[in-house]
Amino acid sequence: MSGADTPHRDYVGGLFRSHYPWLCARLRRHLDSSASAEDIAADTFVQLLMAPDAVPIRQPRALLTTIAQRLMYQLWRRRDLERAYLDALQQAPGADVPSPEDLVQMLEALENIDCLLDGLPDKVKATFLLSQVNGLTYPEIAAELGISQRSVSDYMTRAISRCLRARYD
Amino acid sequence: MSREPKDPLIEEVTRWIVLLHSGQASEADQLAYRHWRSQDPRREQLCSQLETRLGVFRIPIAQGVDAQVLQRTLRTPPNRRKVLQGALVGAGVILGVGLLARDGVLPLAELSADLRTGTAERRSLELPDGSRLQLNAQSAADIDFSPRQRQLRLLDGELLAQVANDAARPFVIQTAQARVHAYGNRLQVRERAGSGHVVALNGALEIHGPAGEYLQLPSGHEVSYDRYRFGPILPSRSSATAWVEGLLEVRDVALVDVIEALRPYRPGVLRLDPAIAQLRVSGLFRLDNPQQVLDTLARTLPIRIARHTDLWVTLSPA
Repeated sequence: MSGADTPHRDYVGGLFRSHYPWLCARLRRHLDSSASAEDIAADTFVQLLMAPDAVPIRQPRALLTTIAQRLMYQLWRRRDLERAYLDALQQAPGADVPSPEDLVQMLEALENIDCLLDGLPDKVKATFLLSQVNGLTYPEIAAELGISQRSVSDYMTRAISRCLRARYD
Repeated sequence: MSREPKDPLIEEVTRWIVLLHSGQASEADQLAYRHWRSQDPRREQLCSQLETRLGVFRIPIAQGVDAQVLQRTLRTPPNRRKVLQGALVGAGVILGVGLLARDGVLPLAELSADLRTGTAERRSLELPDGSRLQLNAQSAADIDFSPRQRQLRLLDGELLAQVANDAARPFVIQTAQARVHAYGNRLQVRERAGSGHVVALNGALEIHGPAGEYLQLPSGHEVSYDRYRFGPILPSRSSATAWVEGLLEVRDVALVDVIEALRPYRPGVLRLDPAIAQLRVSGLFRLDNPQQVLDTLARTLPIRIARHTDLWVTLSPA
């Protein structure tokens, strides 16, 4: 972040020196490889560096833990999505095993879609995906899901409104 | 949607986009949309932001992945969060009822503590320098050792330290209110909700208080403090460390002190009527059976115990 001014950077640098090993050790206890513990610990400080109003922090370890926890959720969610995606592919008739490049791209997309539609009911998600991915018209979606066209419009309204309001990344 | 605040601009954009995706929008509709959108930079900004966000669906389309596959994938529940939350907090934590004891507030600092005990849980452990530590129930501490000093941060609760010899690295216990410098090798520090208590069991201590004042506590003495001042220095009683054995031994102390010692061993809310707080109590109690302690107190003192639920008990004058 070019926005990080020097005092802030120095401050986070100081925190990094005094708390990075502690955070790594702490994360290592809960992650399966030390590599991801160090990644998450480093990411935690990057996020802190990017936070415009992080100074002064009264309980640095508490804040670091909170940030690290959020990053760990993201990591776990990514893994859950990956597993669920591969499962879903296996059950889909005629689906090929994706290339590693495709898979990486797809997992990133899934994470975005997951955030974008987070909290919407299943039916709303189903409607929206049929529209956006399969390109179905509303009458086609209504027939596919066995719901009224009126519901399809309502669901689309909810989903699009959510996408407009979503604040992610 | 009904739960989200109304925003006329978002609603207008939504109406347009819903129409355009219906498969039934005419060319005239498309033109009208373009025109509408170009008339206000805020519309333009919101619409292009949405296009960017929806661009994410180009990836499944390009890879020929069907909506149903995506839907099944997204349906996987975020079920690890709870497990993880528990894991990060550390072993031995009892979330929930144990924290009700302090009116339901979970201090963030404790979540990130290196060492933590739950309700009715005591821990004994060895520090990297060979010092030994006993942690009373509902206590939290961070170990902060450096080449220059051995610092323990007592975030909440009570600890008894048996300090290993290391002349080059002083042993210091830092609490929210005080900084305790150990010259001897055995000391006990407690601080809960702004009130502290330090015992120099073997060897003198130097204690720096919140207002910058400090005092020397000779070996075999104890002192209490609050947010403003130190209390008198008194000879310590041999019973001060009885909690290590799960006991509370008191001679002529205020009821409120007994209740405070009991709190970390009991989930839920324990309210004490100020009218009886200063009643004098003597006896030997088992911390691990707080219910029995309360019953004993009720039999020997002019007090009444009202149980609203198991987790909500009030002590009032009989």
